[in-house]
Amino acid sequence: MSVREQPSGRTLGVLAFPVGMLLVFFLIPFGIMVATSFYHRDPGSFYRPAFELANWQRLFQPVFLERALFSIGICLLAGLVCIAIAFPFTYFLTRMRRRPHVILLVVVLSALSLSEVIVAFSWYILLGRASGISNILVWIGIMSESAAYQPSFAAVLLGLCYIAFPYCILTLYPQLTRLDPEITEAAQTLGASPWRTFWTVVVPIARPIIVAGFLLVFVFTLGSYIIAFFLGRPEHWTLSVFIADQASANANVPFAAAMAIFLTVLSLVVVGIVGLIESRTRRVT
Amino acid sequence: MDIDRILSTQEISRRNLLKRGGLLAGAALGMPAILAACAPDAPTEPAGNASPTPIDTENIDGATIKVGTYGGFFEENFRKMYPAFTEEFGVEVESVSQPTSEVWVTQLQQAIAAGGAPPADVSMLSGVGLQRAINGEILATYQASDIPESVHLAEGYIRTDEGDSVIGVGGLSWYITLVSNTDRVQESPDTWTAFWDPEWENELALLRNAANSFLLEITATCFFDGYDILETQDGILEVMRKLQEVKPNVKLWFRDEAQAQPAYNEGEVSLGQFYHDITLFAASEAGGGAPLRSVFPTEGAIIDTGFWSISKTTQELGACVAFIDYMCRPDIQQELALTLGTIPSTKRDTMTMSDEEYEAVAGPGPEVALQPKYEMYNELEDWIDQNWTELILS
Repeated sequence: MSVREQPSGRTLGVLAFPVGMLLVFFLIPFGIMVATSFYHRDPGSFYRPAFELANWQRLFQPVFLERALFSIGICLLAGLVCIAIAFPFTYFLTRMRRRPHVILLVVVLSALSLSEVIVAFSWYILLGRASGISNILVWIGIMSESAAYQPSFAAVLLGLCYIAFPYCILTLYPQLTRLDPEITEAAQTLGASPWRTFWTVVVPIARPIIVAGFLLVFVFTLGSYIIAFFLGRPEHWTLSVFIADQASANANVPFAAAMAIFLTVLSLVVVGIVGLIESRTRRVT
Repeated sequence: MDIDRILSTQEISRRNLLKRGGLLAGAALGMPAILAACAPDAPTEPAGNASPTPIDTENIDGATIKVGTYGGFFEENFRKMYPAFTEEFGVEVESVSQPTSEVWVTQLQQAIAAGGAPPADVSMLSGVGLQRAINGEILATYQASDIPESVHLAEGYIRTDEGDSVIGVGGLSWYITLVSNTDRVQESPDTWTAFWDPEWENELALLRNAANSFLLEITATCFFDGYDILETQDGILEVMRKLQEVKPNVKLWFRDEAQAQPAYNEGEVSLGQFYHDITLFAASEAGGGAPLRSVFPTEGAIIDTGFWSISKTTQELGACVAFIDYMCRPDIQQELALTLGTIPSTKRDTMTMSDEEYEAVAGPGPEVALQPKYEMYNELEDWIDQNWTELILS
């Protein structure tokens, strides 16, 4: 085991800025949010400093617990779908010749320039009956009448996957680019088909980064509320939609803070569980 | 778990908490006090007050005020009216585009509590938004005598606080009516009860919050002979259960007009509730000729009012009061009605517009419209919100 050196003054100086930023722009606001979640709510008005548990008690109403579980479920599903598509996509992308490789990468990553509102509204139109994709199917004679595919669970899932997909690729891309081609060549020299090489060699090697990409999508989509709000029915709305509603329309910031902290804790628990499973599995294999 | 108990103002005493112990709870207990200590000084006293001292609206030349109105069509048209005010009073008006009142009031409160300049000196607040602002004590007050033009206003357009000081002045009113896409609906229904008809399965657009859709008032009127049933919590729950029956018909629960307008225009939804004035404009040539129609239901359209209100930390109270007084003039009210399609807050006989023009914006008249039950939302806000979430939005 290598002995870690004592950090030099210069190292500490470099670290001071990000640590300071983290403290000022994350930890202090988070502390304020924790405190606010215990504040007293004045119905019909705003809120005032106090210490009471009413907001937390309200959070444990079945309707909000159900919304929290739904949010976690759909975001885990979005993570699975994204990884299932992004991993083979990125792998084969890195194996392409340079020119199409770069072009495709730029096209995919250009989606990052779109805001969540634009994405939600675009899918709303594309999945709608007035000017959506079903009109093309009607035009070529496959359908007799245009149909709407939103609001629906599938529309929300599609929207979440769309906004998270480029981030997923960004997570996978560096490691897959650096994957030594000799490893896959060796597998194929020993008689493995390309498909078998992919499943039995590439995927196991890349497992940590697959888990990282999956968790990134999960955490990223958990904070999304415009997609769910635009493309889903109320039963498809994530907890984030209700947090936004309470904080803005209802002026109930203490309850919104309690819900936001609850969602953060839940997401940390899920991340912890997945990380634990991954590390244990790695130890066994 | 009993929701009434949870939503009651339950507080845990410091002694009980410490008795139960727990480092985390203790730390959390300390945080509000620490934050309270670090918080800026309490907002200054209202710029206006209940005393009969007149507000100086004479020496305002050179002042600049920020006036907030709903973003989009409203704000664009209001903006065009301000130069005439500037010319007459020498007060520059900076137009601010504001979101729905409920959201705007929260932003105002946070700015005022932080001790900063308000995002707008004068804002237009709906009935529910105004009540929240009054309860939160974020508005300036003044006397009716400070706004002499208010004598032209119809009854109910001046809101006062407990000390009879003016705190909100009706700038205009608007209707929520039955709106349909003419391409999808050949003949519009003329009753709110159409929302319950299975014919409209997955075709409706309704406002999503109890306090801005006023669907409780509509349901009570259509199925329970009026608002009496809304006097008790059991009654409100009964009304909500009746309203639950519309859920299979609702395709879009919208938050504001920006979300609903494209859905109506494109025919993503066929029928629903929407704003009469915006529909009139969208269907007009100037508005693009969208295939929309607005119908006044036989039970009465919902009427809501935008009240001019002044942020209490404004530095230009005199100019703000002069602005509100200016907006009470019958000629200005008439211009607003003809431009925006809203209902004037001044009495009918003070304006020179024709009966035909008046009827186009006021329909069968404000007196037969359904009035929002503001006091219900004021008293039971969180309880209604909780049950609305459980029964309607789930």
